[in-house]
Amino acid sequence: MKSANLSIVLSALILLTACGKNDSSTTTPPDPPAIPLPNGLVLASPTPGINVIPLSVNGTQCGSGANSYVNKPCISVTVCDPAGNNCQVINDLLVDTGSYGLRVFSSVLSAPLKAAMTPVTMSSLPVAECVRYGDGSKQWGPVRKANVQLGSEPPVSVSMQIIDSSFTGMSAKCAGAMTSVAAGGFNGIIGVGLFNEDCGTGCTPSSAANNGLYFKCDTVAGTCTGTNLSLANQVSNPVGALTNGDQNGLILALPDIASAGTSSVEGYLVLGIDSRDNNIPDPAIRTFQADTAFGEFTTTFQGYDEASFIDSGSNSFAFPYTGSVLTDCSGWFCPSSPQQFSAVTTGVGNSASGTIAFEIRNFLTFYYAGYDVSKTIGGSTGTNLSGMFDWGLPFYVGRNVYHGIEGRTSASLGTGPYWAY
Amino acid sequence: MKPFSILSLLLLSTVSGTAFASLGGTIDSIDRDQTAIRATHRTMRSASPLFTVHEIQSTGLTMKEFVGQNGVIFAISWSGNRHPEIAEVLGTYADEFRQADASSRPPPGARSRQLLAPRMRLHTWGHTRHLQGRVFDPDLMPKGVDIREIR
Repeated sequence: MKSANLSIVLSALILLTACGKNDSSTTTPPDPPAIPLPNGLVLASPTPGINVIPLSVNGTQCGSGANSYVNKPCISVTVCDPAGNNCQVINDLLVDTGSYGLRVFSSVLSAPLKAAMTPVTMSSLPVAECVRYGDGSKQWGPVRKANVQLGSEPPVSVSMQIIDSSFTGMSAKCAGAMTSVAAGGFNGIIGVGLFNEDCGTGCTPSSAANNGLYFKCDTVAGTCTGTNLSLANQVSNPVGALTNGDQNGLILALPDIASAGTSSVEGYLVLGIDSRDNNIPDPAIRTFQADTAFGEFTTTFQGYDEASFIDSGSNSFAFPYTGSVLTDCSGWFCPSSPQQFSAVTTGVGNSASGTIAFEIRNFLTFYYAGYDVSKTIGGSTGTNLSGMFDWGLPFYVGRNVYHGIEGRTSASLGTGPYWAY
Repeated sequence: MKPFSILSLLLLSTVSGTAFASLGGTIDSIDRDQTAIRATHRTMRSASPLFTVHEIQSTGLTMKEFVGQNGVIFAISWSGNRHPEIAEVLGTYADEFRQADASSRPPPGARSRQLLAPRMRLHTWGHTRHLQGRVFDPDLMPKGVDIREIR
């Protein structure tokens, strides 16, 4: 209830300012109310656009109950077989700008859909993947071709992963992989980060077969061996597979919230940059270039330059911390009072540099208040150690963050990989 | 101490397993392992006189082993498109890891992890395409080494 009121108030406020802006720039009669996006992004009336996908953080697009966790941004997408049949709307997909490609737990997909998805093969053997994440968690399962529809965009044909720890050969190659929706905390992950494929040239036939990610599996013998895989067959970011101009990137737009936290937040994932009336960046938006190998830039914090990335799939700020004010409670910062910090993000090459102010509050206070969304929670990637500065979901709250996909260009922000904010 | 210059043993080939010398092991085992797994092994001067760095590269994964003047590996770090098999990296520390791991499973949502056990500190972090980590034994760490050099 609290959060619903909050977003209504926010929407009304934004709508008011947005209408004011529109009135001053055009003399055409007013259309039906514009769809207000947070932070001044306004969708062209009267249609919200085929490229706009409702996104919520622990809200309407996410699963409820035990199979969730704090600061989880979700959307729903439609998955069909390669012929466009057996379609199924899948909700509770983690929107993850720190990975690339769609992965859905097998238990969520209907049997007819799974049966009709074309297996990706090497040497006539089905290909499976072991994908790993920063916390050491893993997912295992076969790679299949599917038609994926984002919002009301034309469906795209991509390789995706069916997360299935019972698929042939898992125990040897991907020990400890997630077994269930309950273990993962979501129905699946939609990786929409700065790259097109989850591995890239490191897994193509120009590299050795033991890339550690892709395997070809003998389902009779129950064994898998490493394989390389063409870019076209690797699990791929569905945004990059669009062909109508929206493939150059995406915007995550979330309204601001109270520093103490809230229950849920509703925002948008907008496809394309500068490709339509509703995704043109404000002139104040600046591009921070990421490197083409890792998709990272530099964050300078407490005098140290750290490799850094922005990741909606990380549910908190995570950074190496030197000091004693940010005490640790089971991996979460739990300072006795709110603490203000700033860090400088610098793009690679000669791209922009800018200061980001942020606040860290006590995780336990937030958690025991019963809230599920916070812009002030964080954890250490190693006290007094080097590590990585991970701008997680809290960074996105109250911002429009533009993500430029590798090799793709937008008129005002340049060529990816980049973030812009 | 054995005079390590920049020696580069280019034995690029298919690596079938990943059996690196483990934490607490010795430089002799590094040489044995790099031959066994046919990975590329370089010994690098470190900025510090207190340790040498042995870099072992296999497809998509670079591991660094930090060796003190006594020849013992006191820390291992990695960077690549995957984490190595943690149990192999840990060697004799693996049981301790398994215990600590079972009692402190991270909740979903985090993209980094700190695992603290009596004899070791393990950190992993990163995102798809660039996963990193580090493990060290504080008791084996040579005096005067800045832990920020272990990366």
